[in-house]
Amino acid sequence: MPVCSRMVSIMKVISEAIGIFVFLIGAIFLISWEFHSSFLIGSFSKFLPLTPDIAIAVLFLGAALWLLRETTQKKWIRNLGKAFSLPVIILGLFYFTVQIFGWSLPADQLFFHWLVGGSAVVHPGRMFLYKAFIFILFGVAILFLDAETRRGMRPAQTFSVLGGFISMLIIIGQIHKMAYLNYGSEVFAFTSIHVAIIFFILSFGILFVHPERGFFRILVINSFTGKLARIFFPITFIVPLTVGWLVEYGKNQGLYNPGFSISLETVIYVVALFLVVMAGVNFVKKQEEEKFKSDIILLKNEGKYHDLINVMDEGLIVQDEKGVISFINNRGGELLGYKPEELIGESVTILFDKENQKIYREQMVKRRKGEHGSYEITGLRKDGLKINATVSPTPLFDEKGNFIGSMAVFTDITSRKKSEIEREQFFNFFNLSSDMMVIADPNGAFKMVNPACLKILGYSEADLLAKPFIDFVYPDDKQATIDEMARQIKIGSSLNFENRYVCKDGRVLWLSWIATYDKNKGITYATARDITRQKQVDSELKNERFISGIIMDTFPGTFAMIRQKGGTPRWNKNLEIVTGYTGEEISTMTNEQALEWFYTKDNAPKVIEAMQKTFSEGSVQLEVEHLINRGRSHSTYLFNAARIELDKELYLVVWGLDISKIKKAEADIKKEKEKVELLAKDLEKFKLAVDSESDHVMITDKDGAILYVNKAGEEITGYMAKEIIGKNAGDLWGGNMSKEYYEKLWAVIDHMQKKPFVGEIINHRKNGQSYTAEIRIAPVLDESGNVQFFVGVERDITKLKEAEQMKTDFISFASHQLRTPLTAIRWNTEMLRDTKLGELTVEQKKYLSEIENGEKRMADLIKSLLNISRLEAQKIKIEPKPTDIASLISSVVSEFTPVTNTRNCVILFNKPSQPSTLIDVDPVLLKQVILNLLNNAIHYSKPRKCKVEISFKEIGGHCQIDVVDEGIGIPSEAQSRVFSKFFRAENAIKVSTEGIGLGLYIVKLIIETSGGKVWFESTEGKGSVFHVAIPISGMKRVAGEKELSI
Amino acid sequence: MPKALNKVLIVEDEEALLAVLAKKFTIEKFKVFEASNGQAGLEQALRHHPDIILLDILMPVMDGMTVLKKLRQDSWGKSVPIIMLTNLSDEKKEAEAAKEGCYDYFIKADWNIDDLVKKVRSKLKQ
Repeated sequence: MPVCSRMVSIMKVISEAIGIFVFLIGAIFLISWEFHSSFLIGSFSKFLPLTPDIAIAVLFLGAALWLLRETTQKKWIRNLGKAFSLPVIILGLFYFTVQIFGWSLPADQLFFHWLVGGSAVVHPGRMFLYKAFIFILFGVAILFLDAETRRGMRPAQTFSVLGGFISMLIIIGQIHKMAYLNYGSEVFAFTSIHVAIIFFILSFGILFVHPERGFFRILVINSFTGKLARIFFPITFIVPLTVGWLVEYGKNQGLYNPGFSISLETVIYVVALFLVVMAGVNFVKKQEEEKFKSDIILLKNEGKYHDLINVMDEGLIVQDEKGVISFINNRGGELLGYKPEELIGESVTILFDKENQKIYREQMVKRRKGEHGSYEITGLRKDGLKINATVSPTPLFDEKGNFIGSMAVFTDITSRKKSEIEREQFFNFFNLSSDMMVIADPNGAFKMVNPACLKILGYSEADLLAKPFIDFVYPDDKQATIDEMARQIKIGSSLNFENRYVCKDGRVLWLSWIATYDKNKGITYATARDITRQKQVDSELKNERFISGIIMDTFPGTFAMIRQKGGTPRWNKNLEIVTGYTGEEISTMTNEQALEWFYTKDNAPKVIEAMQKTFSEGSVQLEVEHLINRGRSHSTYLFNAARIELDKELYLVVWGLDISKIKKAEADIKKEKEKVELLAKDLEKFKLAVDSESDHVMITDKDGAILYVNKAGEEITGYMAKEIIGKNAGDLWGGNMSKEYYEKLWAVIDHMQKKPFVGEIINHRKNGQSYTAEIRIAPVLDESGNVQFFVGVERDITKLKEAEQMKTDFISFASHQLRTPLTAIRWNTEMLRDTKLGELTVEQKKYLSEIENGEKRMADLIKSLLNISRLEAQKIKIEPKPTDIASLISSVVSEFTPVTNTRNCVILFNKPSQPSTLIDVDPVLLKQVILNLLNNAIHYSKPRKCKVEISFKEIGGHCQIDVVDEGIGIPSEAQSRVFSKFFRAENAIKVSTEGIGLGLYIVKLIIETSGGKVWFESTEGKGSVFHVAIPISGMKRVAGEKELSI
Repeated sequence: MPKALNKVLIVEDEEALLAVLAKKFTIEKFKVFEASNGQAGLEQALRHHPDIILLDILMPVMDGMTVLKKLRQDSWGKSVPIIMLTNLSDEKKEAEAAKEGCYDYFIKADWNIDDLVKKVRSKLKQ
C-alpha cells in the first residue's frame, strides 16, 4: 500500500532540522565551555547546563543525523556520519563499564578536565547509567541507520524508540519531580530535563529518517489504517500524560489522597484501553464484513474472470514473492509451449535464458518497490524457441504492505517484432541506399522518394512530390519516358530504362531505371542509378577508341600488334596499303606467313631474332628491308617494337616507318659534307692565296662591317686583323673623303646600282700617314638580288701616284721650258713681220716663213706630246655636252679653209637634210678627232686629186663619222701599226717628212677612252676611209684633271 | 690735251720675251712698265698703278701667283685687270688664278703678240 508521500517528505525534513538543531546545541555548549562563557553557563543557571560530554555526544549525533539524511548519496559522507556515532557509543560503553564496576570517577571531569578547569559547576549524582543507555542506543541507531532486515524492520527505529521512551521517562519523572531511582543503596540521579528533552527530540529525528520503512511505515500509509494509526499513536502518548498529570495535580491540590490517585489513574487507563479496543475491534469487524461482501462478488466474478482469463488472447501469469508460478492461464501456457499445470510451482526463471533472467530480476526489484511498468523480454519456450513478449505486470501486496508476488499479462510480440525488424530493415534500406528509390502513383507523381533522390537530384522532398515526375525529365527524353511508362503499364513487369533528369541546379544526369508496376494497387516501385559518370566514361571510351583508331590510321607508318602465340589481332590501314595484303589476309595470317610476306629470306632470321629479343628484353629497334606491294618491291623500314602483356598473354606492338627517303637523304648529306670539306680545303688554299696577295683584300657584310681582311690589308692600313674585324673601314682608315664621295660610293655599290665601284680614295694608316689607294668594291648579291657581302680590293698607289705626279710635273715643266724659247721665236718673228719696224725683202720674208714653220711644228709637237701624256695618264677630262654634230663638223671644216685654198682641196661635208639630234660629246675632243682625221685626209691626198668627204650617220646605236679620201692609202703591212705612237707609214714619209705620227694615236686614245670605236679601210694608192663611231648614248664622262691642249 | 696713254705693266722673267713685249706695246702706243721678277713687278704696280698687268707665273724672287694674291689685297690692286701670261698649262694654276680674280690666262706659245695687244685693248675699252 502506498504511503502518504507528503507526510513522509515533511518528516524527513523535520529529521534533518532536528539533526541541525541538536548539532548546534551541542556546538554552542561546547564552545561556551571552551571559552568559559558565562553567558550560557551562567544565564541558564535555572537549567542545569549540558556537561561537555553530553554536548559532544549531542554534537556528534546531530551532525551524524544531518549527514545521514536521505539525500546524501555519497558513500563516504554516509560513512563519515556513521563514524560520528562511534565516539558516542564508546563513551556510552565506558559509562556503562564504570557504572557496572562501580568506579567512582568523576568521568565527565576526567575527560573534560581541560574544559572544566575548576570553574565549572559539578553536577551531583552519577547519571552514568542513563547516559550509557542513551549514548549506546542512539549511537547504535545512527550506526545502523540504513540497515533493514528482510522483513523490512529497521533496527535504528527500534533503538531510537527505546532511547525516546527512556527520555520520556525522565521527562515525565522530572515533571512529577520524581526523577530518582533507587538501586541498591545508591540513588541515581537522572539527568536534567532539558538533556532528556534533547534526546527525546533526537529520537524523533532518527525515527523520521525513513518513516516509510520499518514499523513506522504503518503511521504513514496512505490508507484508512494509516489514518487510524496516526490518530491512535498520539493518543497513546497524550492520554496517559494528561491523565497522569491531572491525577497528580488533583493529588497535589489535595482533592484526594495519594492512594486514591493511583486507583483513579488505573480506572481511567482501563476505561481508555477498553474504548480503544472496542473501536479497534469494530473497525476490524467492518473490514471483515466488507471483505466478505467483496469475496462473494469476487467469487461470483471469479467464474467470469476464470473464463475471461482462459479465453483472453494474452497470457496471464501469477507468481508469488519467491518467483514461483502460482497460476498461468491457457493462453499463457500456449504461448510458452507448456501445459499450464506443468508450470505451476515452477520458478519463473525457467522461462528465460541467462540474459533475460537478469532483466526479469531487475524487474522484480521494481515490483517489490511497488512499481508498475511494461517491458519487453524474450522468453524461452518449452521447445527451446524464443518468444518475444511484452509484459505488463502488477505487483501484489498484502494488507501489511508486504510484497506477496506479482501478476503479469504478456503478449507475444514475436511476429510483431519480426515485422518491426523487417520494417526497420526496409526503412534503413530505403533511407540509406545510394540509389534512388521511388514509389509513384498512377497519375505519374512521386508518392515517396528516398533521401538518395534528394541528394542526387538536389530537390527537396516537397519539390519532388509536388509535380508529376515527368516534369523533372530532360525535355528530349520526355516522350521516350512517357512511351516507356505506357508500355510498362501494359506489361506490368519491370523494365530497364535510361533517361535524363534535370537536377535543381540545372545539371543533367543520366539515370538507369528498374521499375515494377503493381497492377492491383496501380503503383510503380522504381529504383534508379546515376549512370552519368558511366555514360561519360562510355563516351570517353568511344572517343578514345575513335581517336586511337584515327591515330592508327593516320600514322604515316605501319602498326601491328603481334601475338606471341601467333596472329595479328590489331593493325592499321597503312599496313594493308604498304604490304599490299588485304585486311582479311592479315587477320588470318600466321606469324610464319607474315615473315614470308613481309621480309626476304635473307632478312627473316634478323627479324626473328629481333622479335625474340623484344619478347625477352622488352623493346627493340630494327632497320630492315620490308617487302611492299605484295613482295614486288621493298623499302627500308625502321621498326620500333615493344612487348606488352594483356590478359596474361604476351604481345608485340610494332611501329614501322619508311626511312628509305631518309636514308637517301643521309647519303646525300654525306656527299654534301664531303663536298663541303673539299670546299673548305679550297677555301684554305684561296685564303692562303689571298693572304699572299699584295693588294688589300677585304670582305664586309652588307652594312660594311669587316668580316675578313688579308695580310696585305694589315700591312697597308697599319691595323691588325683583330682590330679590323667587326669594324667599318670608315672607323679606321677611311673617312677622309668628302661626304658626296662616300654617298656616291654607297649609291653605286648598294642603294642605286648594286655594281662595283672603282675609284681612287685617300685613306690614312694607323700612324696617321695618308695614302692614296685605287679601290674596287663589288657587292655580292644573293638569289633575290639583295646585297649579302661586299668584296673590296685596294691597291696602295701612293708611290704610283707620286710617280705620276712627278711625270706630270716633269712634262708640265718640260713643256713650259720648251715653250718659252718657242714663244720668243714666234713673237720675235712676228715683230719682224711688223711693217712698223720696216719692210722686209721677199727673200727675208721667205726665211722668216721657214722660221715660223719650224716654230709651229715645234709648238705642235710639244702640244701633242703634252696631250698624249695626259691622255695616257687618263688625266684628260671628257665632258660630254649635247652637241650638234653637223655644226661641229662644219666648224672644223671651215677652219681648214686656208689650207684647202692653199692646197686646192675640197672638203665636202654631206650635211644631212634634217637637223640631227644632239649627242652628248665633248666638243673639244671630238673637234680634235675630226681635225686630225681631216688633216690626214688632206695631207695624204694626191696633189691634183684632193677631195675629202666627211659625213656622219646614225647606225647600230652609234653616231658614225666617216672621212673618205682619195689619197695615198695605207700599205697593208703598215695598217696594223697605223694607230701606234709616232708611227708613219713609208709612203706617208715619202709624201712629207712633216708629221709626227701622233694624229691617229690621239684619235684612237680619245675615241676609245670616251667609249667609241675607230677603224678604217684603206688601199694603197687608192685612198682610205676612216670611221669613228660614238655611241648614241654619248661619250663616257671622265672626271679627269686636264683638258686637251689645242 | 692728248689722252693719256694706257699704262701697261709687263712682269716677265724671260729677257727676250720681255723685250719683245715691251717693244710691241710701245709701238702700239702704250706706256709700258717692265719688271723681270715678281717683287719688282709688285713694286711697279703699286707705284705706277698701270691700267692692266701682264703677269708671268714662273718667276724668281716672287712668282706670279703670289703677286696676284698680294695685289688683290691692295685697295687699288684688287680691281686692276690682270692677264696671266705663262707657258705653264696647268689647270690647277689656272683655276687658282681665276679664283684670285685674274681676268684671263693665256699660254704664250699659243698667242701672237698682235692678238695679245688686241685683247688688251679690248679689255681696256671696257
